[in-house]
Amino acid sequence: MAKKSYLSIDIGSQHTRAWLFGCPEDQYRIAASSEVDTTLIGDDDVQRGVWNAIDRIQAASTHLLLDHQRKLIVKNSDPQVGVEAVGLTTSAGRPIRTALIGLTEPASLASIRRLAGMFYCQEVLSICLTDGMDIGRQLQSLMQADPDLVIMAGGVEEGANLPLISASTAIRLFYKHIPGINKPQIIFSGNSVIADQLKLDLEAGDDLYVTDNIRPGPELENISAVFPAMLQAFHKIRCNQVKGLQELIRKTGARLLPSAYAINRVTNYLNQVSKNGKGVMAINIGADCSSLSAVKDGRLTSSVVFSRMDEQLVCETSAWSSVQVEHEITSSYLQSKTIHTGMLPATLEDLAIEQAWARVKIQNCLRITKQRFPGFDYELQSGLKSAYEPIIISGSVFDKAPTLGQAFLMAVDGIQPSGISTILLDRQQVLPALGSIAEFEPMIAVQVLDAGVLQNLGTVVSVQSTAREGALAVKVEVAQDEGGRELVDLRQGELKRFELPLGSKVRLYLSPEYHADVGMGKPGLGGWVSLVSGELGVVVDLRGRPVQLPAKSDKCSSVIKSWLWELGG
Amino acid sequence: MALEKLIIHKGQQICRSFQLPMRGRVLVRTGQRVTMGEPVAEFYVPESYLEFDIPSGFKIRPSKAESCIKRLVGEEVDAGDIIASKGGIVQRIFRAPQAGKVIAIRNGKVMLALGSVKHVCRAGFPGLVVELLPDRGAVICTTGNVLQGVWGNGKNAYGDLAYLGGSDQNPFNQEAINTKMEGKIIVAGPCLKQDLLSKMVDVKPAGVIVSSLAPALQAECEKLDFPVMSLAGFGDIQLDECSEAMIFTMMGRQVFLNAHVPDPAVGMKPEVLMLGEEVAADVLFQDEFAFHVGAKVRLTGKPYTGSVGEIIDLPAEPERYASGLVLPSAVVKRSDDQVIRVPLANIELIY
Repeated sequence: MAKKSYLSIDIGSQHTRAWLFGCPEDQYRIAASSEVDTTLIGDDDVQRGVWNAIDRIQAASTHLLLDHQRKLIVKNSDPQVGVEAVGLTTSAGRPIRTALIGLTEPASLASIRRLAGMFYCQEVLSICLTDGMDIGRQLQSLMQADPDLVIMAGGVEEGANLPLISASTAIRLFYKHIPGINKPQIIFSGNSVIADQLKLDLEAGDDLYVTDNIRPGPELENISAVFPAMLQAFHKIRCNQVKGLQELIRKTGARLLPSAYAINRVTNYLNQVSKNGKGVMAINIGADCSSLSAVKDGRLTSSVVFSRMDEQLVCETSAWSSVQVEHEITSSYLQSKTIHTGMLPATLEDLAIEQAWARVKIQNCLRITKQRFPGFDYELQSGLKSAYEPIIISGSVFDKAPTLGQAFLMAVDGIQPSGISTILLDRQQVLPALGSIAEFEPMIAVQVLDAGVLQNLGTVVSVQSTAREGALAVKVEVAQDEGGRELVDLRQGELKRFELPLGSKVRLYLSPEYHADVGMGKPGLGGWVSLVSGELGVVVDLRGRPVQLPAKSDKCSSVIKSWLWELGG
Repeated sequence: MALEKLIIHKGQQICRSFQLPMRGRVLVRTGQRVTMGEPVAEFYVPESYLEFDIPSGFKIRPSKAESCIKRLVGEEVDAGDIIASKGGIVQRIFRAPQAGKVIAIRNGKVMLALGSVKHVCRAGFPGLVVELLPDRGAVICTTGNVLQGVWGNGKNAYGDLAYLGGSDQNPFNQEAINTKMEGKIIVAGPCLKQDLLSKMVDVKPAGVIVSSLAPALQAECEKLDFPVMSLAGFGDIQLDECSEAMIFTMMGRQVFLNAHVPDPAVGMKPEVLMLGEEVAADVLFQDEFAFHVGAKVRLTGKPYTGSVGEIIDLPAEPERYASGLVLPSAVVKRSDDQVIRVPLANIELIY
């Protein structure tokens, strides 16, 4: 009997994408997909873009999705008609203005800051209840900050609660007196002893969500306990902000998820099935924001970082440009991008700025993630400190890159991975769709990912060494199943690509010098590595961490160009 | 990629909503004529909040606190009014330090909202109120010429428009920036140097419109107390022919400059308006807003930033560009008759 079909929709700030997942031969596959412009601007209705995307899917496939009244057919008895369920994710919309109220900075505030950072929130106020701010000032700060969302936490179970009870007075008065059209959403994830009293005190009805304690013990953190409440608050806030979203949800029966949250589900799954003992990472670079999702040893690190531009980031972008560009021109281009968010580079100079900006956005995303998650194994000075396998990259800057080498180098320069990692490109940006539909049919994500929906760009071997530039660092032997062998000595400072047939099974023997660490456990330790070659084969990166760019800008661009040439242009 | 629309149009019906960021009181009615700067809606927020803890302030048991409170929640108080008092040998009184309102009494604590700060939403141009937005503001309509830009510093003003040049045909005459420009809306070419901006600030204009702005001057422009609008964005961009033609119609006439901070999320752009032109017939029968052959466009990406022209073809196949990107494109005949291919993503439709 034929299995049912599922539809997934992802609304981005620039594009709305839709996928139809079908099961023609006992394996779920992408039956059809479409990408259209998002219709969010001004008085536009987000539904227009979504129905446009569904129309295109229906035109591209033989599957009937809409009835004669152009309504989506959901849960039809005939599996050949309509869809069983719809997944809906969004990364579009303004940052959610969020006030954080916690008992102490290093404990509850840090926890709710990490939580907020996963859900497209922008911190507009932070109140530490041990700082002695009186209720009047708390209330005034809340009124001035005008948040869409208030998250309050603090107190381990059975621990301190008086400051929280006091702060609840400020929140109650704020909720009652704020003249905003839409009332703020309030999440309490602190000491559960006061939960009932808080419900009575706040008088916020459906706008209050009380969850399990995010910090049940002094050294314990339980962020996932707050996810259901965050999802409900996200749903309500976005429905208030985005015209047509509420109606779309009603018509499709979908549950709205943040795109980054849906990606977390997929990275979690990949980490569970991975047998290499390394973590899994996914990075998305969008027009408005970047998101990172990393899972290692079952621990999730997830962060959404909104794009901003300041002088330091402009300087970093100029430095990473593969074409020598004046600072003023870089600045003008990036400023123009804030006004014309959909603008695309037509010249080599603009492309170089765009790709340099992508590197800086990745680095900024990792940097801010590290601030939010001090345990995240990344340092600005040394890049990632442990290996992730695979690293999945997505975003139109990667999809649209004229060559795969450019996409690969942007990722490696931005992430600066450690050890041995495979870089996969999510060209269709399907991860949010798989994450959202997984709650209805988990096999879709499993089977679609197994079918190779992610493009294997290649494997990077990052060699860390203290040796001077030009010194012998590692001997590499590449042995292919089909016979060929290649033995090469590689020196510190090099970026070396081994071109291999796509999909071929390769054995790599790494023999590092005593000072070089190839990710096998300690410097000097080498061995055989088996892998399947990606589009670019294997790349050995001996440029050190962080990748050092020459001080002079003309030399920077020529060095970056030489790396690009090594990767095929 | 969302379609970008830029209005440069004569005899346009202009309807804009003016609304509060929060719920407040609407001060106008449908059918009312309003002047530039007239309040449309207002709301008040307290200046500060004060909590008085009676048990600790009066040094009494919490159970006695309620009996000391002399006011009810919601009651308005003047400066000096008694909020709570305790009799006995040692009398204690708590008075309101300034006018305000009792907003909460709980557990022996009184919360006062003191003072009030008025926030007003004003009309950005004179016109007729055609629709009320309950608790928020109103939609005001008029007719006239519209010239939109892409960046503004969030201020607005009105005054006579003075054009100092700034296109290839009419080079920018910096000498014309003199005391005669005081109180006027100056239109100039690219403003790339601090000296030039300072010179314009010194003559105390009502507002400044430039064809483009150096990114380094953006922060300073944001601080100025008069409106500044950039027509084409950032970098060295000459004034385009469409904008210049509209400026010629406005020269010496009173214009209203609303230099909104652009918000791509809501499609808000800064604009200059000249009121009074009759609505042109073509405006009443406009085609759907979409790329089409014959559409007037302005280009945003390099190498043609700021150029204007007309779409003469929309090829079905995407084009490869110098950057190597393969993108959906339009064939555009520029105003200098040069025919070029540009990505659709780098086009603003002139409307």
